[in-house]
Amino acid sequence: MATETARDPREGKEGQGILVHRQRTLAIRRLRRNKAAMVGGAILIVLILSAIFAPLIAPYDPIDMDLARALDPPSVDHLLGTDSFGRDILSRILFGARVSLFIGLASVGWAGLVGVPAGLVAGYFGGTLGTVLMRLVDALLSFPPILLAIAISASMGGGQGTLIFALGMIYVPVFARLVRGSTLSLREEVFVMAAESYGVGTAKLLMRHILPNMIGVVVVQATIGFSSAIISEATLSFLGLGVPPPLPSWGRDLNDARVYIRETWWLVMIPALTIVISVLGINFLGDGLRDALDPKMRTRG
Amino acid sequence: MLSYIARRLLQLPLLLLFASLIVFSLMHLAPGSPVPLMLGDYSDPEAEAALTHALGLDRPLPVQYLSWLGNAMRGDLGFSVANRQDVLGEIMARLPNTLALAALAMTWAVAIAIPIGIISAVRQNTWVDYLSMGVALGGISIPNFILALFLILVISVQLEWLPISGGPSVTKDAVGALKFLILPALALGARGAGVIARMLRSCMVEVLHQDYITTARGKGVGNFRIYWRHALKNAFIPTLTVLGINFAYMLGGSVVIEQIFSLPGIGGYLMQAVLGRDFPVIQGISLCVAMVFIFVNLTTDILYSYVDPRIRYD
Repeated sequence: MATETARDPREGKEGQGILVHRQRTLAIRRLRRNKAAMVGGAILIVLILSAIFAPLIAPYDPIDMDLARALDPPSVDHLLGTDSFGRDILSRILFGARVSLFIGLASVGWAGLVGVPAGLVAGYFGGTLGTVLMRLVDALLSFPPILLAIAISASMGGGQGTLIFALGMIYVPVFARLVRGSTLSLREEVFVMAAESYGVGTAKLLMRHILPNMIGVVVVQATIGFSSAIISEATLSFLGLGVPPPLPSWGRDLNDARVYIRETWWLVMIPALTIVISVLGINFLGDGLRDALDPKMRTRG
Repeated sequence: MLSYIARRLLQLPLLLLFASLIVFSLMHLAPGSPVPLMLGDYSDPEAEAALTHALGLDRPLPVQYLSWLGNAMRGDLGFSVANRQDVLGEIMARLPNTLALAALAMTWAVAIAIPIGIISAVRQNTWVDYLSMGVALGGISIPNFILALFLILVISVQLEWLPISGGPSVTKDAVGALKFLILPALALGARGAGVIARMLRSCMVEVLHQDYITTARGKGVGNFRIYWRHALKNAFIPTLTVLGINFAYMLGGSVVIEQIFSLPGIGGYLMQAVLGRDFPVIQGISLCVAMVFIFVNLTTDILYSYVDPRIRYD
C-alpha cells in the first residue's frame, strides 16, 4: 500500500489523496464481496444496536429479581428463561452486550492511545529511548496475556476502570511493536524522505505522512484486539475479577450458571453461545478487513 | 546465527530485569498500601503495621525492589500471607501438573493441526479447505473456558465418560491423573490447534508452489510422499515459532482451565491467591511463568535459526 503511494508520480497532497481514496474504495468493494466478513459485520451491528437500545428492547430490568420464578426454562413470559435469582436472561444478555462492547472498545482504545505513539517514537527516533521502550514492550510480552490481566486486576482491586486498564495492558505492547515495525519501513520510503527534506516538522511528519499509511494494519490489529478483549473480559468476569456485580456480564452469568450445569444446561449455553457468536463475527470481519486492505496477504492464514 | 544467539542471550538479563520490575510493581499498582486489602475484614492498625513490616513495605521502594530481586535470585520468593508456606516450594510442587496439562494440550493440538493444515493446503479453495479453516477459526474464536463447559456438559454430564473435575497430582499418580487431564487438555489445546492449522496451511500453500516440489512431481514421487516428506518439512519451519508462543499461551490459559476442572496446578494456586489477595504468591507465580515464557520463546527462536539458517534477524 505504502509503496504504491510513494511511487505515485503526482507528488503532493492532492495526488496522494486521490490514490488513498481509490484504494479505500477498492478495499471496501473487496470487503463487500467477502460473505463471511459481511456476516461478521451484521453480527457486530446487531450487537451494537442491542447495546445501544437495550433499555428499549429488553423485556425486563436485567437486575430485577423474582425468586419465585428462579431457574424457569424458556417460556412466553421469559423468552430465554430466568437465572437462579429469577432474572430475565434475555434482558441480561442484551444489557451484557453493553458491558462487553464498552470494555472491549475502551481497552483497545486505551491500548492504541498508548501503544501507537510509543511505537511511532521508538520506530522514528530509535536511540536509547527506542531501545528502552522496546525492551519494556518485550518484558510486557513475556507474560501470558490473561495472566498479566489477572495479576493487574487482582492487584488493583475491582472496578470497570481497573478492568479496562488491565485488559489494555495486554495490547499496548502489541500495538507498539506493530507500529514500530511499520514506522521503521515507512521511514525509508521516498515520500517520507521527501517530506523530511522539505523541512516538514517531526510531529506533522508522523501524524500526516507516516500514521495514515499504516492505518490499515492498525485497524486490523484493533479488530483482532477487540474480539480478544471481549474474550478476556468474559474470562475475567467468569473468574470473578470482571465488572462489579450489579452490572450484567456474559462471563459472570456463565459462572453463575455453571453450578446448575446438570439441571439447566440452557443457562450455560445461552451466554456461552452469545460470546462465541460475537467473537466469531468480529473475527470474520477482521479476517475480511485484512484481506481487503492487503490483498497480497490473501494466501496467508 | 551464532551472533544472533549471542545477542539474544545478552538481551536476556535486561529482559528478565524488566519483567521482574513489572512483577514487583504489581504490588504497588493500587494507590495506598496493599496491606488492608490483604487483611480484608480482619484489618486493624496493629496487624497492618506488623504485616507492613514483615513484607518490608515500610522501606523505600528501590530498597524493597532490590531486596525482593536479590531474594528471588537466591530462590526465595517469600512466604504466602494466607498460610506462611514457602512460595517457591508451593509453586514447584504444582508446576509439573500445569506443564503436563500444557504438554498434553500441545500434543493433541499439533497432532490434529498437521493433517488439517496439509489437507486444506492441498485442496486449497475447495469445500474441504473452507470447512477445515472454518473449524480452525472456530477453535480460535471459542474461548477455552467456554469449550471446557461444553465438554463438561456433553462428555461428563450427558455421556458420563470422563470425570468432571479433581484428580491426583501427576507426580503422585501419573496414570490416574491422565483421565482427569483429557478434557482440560482438549479445551486448552483447541486455540493452538486452530492457529497452527491456519499457519501450516498458508506455509504449505507457499511451499507447494516451489520448484523443488515440481521437480519431485516430475521425478514421479507420489503425492503422499510429496506432502508429508518434501513439503511438510519446509512448511513446518515457520510454524515452529507459533508452536512456542502457543505453549506459552497455554500456560496462561491453564489458570482458567485448572480453576474449572479443580486441577492441582499453579493456575488454580494463582486464583486461590488472587481471591485471598496473597500478593507474594501472585508475584511469585507471575515471575515463574514469565521465566518459563521467556525460556520457551528463546528456545523456539534459537531452534528456528538452527533449522532454517537462511533466517537473518536484525
